[in-house]
Amino acid sequence: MSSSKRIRRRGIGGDQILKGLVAAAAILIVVLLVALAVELINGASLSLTTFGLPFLYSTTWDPYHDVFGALPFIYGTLVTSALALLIGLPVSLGVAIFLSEKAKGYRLAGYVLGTLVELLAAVPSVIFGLWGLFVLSPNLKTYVEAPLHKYLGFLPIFSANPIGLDYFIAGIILAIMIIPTVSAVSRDVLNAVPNSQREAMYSLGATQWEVIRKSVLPYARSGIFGATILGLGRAVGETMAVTFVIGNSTAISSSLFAQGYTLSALIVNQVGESTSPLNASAIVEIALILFGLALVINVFARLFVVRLTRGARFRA
Amino acid sequence: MLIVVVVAAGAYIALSSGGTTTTTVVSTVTSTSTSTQVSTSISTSTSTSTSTQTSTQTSVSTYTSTSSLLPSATVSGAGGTLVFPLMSTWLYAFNQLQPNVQVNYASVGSGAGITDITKGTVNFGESDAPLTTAQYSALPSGSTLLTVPISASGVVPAYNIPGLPATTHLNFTGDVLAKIFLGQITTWNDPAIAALNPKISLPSNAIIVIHRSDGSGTMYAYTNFLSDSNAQWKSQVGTSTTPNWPVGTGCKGNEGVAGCIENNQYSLGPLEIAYVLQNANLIGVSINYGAVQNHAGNFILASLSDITLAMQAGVTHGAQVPQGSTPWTGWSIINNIYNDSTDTGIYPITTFTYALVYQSLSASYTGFTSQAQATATVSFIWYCVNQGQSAGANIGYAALPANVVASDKTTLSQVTYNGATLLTGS
Repeated sequence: MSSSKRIRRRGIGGDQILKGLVAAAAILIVVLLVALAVELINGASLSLTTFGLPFLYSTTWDPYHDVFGALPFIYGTLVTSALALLIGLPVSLGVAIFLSEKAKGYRLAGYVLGTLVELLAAVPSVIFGLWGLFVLSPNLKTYVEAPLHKYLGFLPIFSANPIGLDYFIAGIILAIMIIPTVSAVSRDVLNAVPNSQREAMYSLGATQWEVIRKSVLPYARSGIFGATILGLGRAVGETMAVTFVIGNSTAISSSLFAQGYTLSALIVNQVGESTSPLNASAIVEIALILFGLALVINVFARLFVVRLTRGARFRA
Repeated sequence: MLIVVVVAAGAYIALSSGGTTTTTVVSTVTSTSTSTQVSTSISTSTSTSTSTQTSTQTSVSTYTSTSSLLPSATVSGAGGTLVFPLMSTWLYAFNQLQPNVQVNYASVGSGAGITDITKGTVNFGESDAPLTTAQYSALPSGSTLLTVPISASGVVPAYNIPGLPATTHLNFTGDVLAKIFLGQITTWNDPAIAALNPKISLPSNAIIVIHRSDGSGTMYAYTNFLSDSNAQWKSQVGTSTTPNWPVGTGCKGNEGVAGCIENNQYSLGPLEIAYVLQNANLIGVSINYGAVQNHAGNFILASLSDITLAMQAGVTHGAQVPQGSTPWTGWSIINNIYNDSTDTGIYPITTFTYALVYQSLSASYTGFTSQAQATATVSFIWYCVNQGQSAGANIGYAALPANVVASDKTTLSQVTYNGATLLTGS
């Protein structure tokens, strides 16, 4: 009797401590996020008041004359991230479908491949950057960009003379870097699709491709969309690898073979070398824009996922 | 561990291929979406103070010669990346001489070095460019920040022209370089380049312009020279660690610029001479670079001795070297020697890199905790300026000439801790 009382009392105490700890952890996240936003807005205030809204669409970035605008960097970030998704998403989906549907008979093969894909996610980005600069860039320039420019150079997107440091190479590097994230999450999503879905289709005489296309993928599409947004988030914020191969030029070009710049590349290039308080503040405002962009992407993704899953429930 | 797993798995697949395994696979691997990002390369040595022995000289904390052991202290510095290879050599050598003193240096960039010394988070700062007027005015009120040249480097126009022998060096003038970097000269066989290189048959290919993307003292020196040489460059772009380049491709760090030049035939970009010589001496990779015309009209192919000559000329001609607490804003070797035609052998794109230390050290805004720490800081800078200079030859840094060393000594003897002078004697 007394022992059970003691246990109960101890249990309640433990519960309360645990509750306090996890609540503190949860609050810490909110505090961190708010503190980050406040600090960024605070640091950017000089630039915000000096340039106002035109900062977003002005194209000059000149620390010597203290004139700053963010458009080349916003443009570069959007172009390279879009390219990364365009190239990375189909490959990631292929990997995920292979791992979840095709490799089921080969437990270890699937395990090893899955581990390797995750291993790719653990490679530090500076390694991708150096590899991109010294290996990928010269090869892609010679064997992909040069022929494209030669035969399809009349198209605006291939018009610039390729030198191997451009939006295109940055997009490829980013695609490689988001593949592990997108494919690993997509695989888990596909694995979570109930077997009854597949079996129902098979019983109707569907081929494996038809099962994947008409039953598995639609069922998992909100999860896959979530995985894509995770990848997009990584592509938008990726810094070192892009800095090495983007060409770091503030010119805005419609050609994928022209040099560009991204928000994160600008920050890493110039944060240690600000020459005036306004310059330092403008760099913080660039960080604020990046922070805002990441927030918008995440919120948008959440809303979309919610809408998709609700739609799926109504259909079912 | 992972390799073992991979190998074992490979063997398993090889052996069991063809066998029918019908077990349902339940994935137990959780997804990882960690984005590992290594952003800036901040290099610091360990900050552990190794010596715990009680020094018998605690009362004597004046640096006279290397024979006297300094009391135990930890000194931290932060600043430019240009000087980092040389700084690493100094850190090691100084620790051998003064085992009680641990000096740490973070190579975070010149701008960050100035910010750190302004906030008093380090004992000394380091910068490739002297402070601007805005940076001086941001210093704590009542403080005086001293600027001490500790080493020098040169900037060379490096290029990749296939078919041009390594023994042939192109000639450039500041005006031609400025026009190339303004986008006015676009091909290698432009008459302006051809006129400087009458004996070389130049290709008709477009010049691929390469420059640093990150803020850099190397670019500060290079744009300083272009500003002196070309009026349009001066008004349109100016002298800056992070200029708004009219044309060209930005590559990260000296290694990035070298890589971009290597990967692109017919490219041209400014590189720090120390980086070029380190590559040639230590790795055996030779990067071709051109000679630059000085004001006497001679084309000088940069070498360490020409850079020392330039330093010597830079402190004896033109605007006087700021002594003691005089601000250094706008002072540069390049400006001083640009109009000097008396010295025929000087290399025109030569720049100092500076240590920054407050004149009156105390606990208040400079963050010094003891006289031992203050003495160690001044002693280390004096070591760099004086004995440490010979260490630079192998890794591409020119030795400071005697007149600069003497002027540095005058500056350093003005540093005090709570009123007491720290550097005396030899």
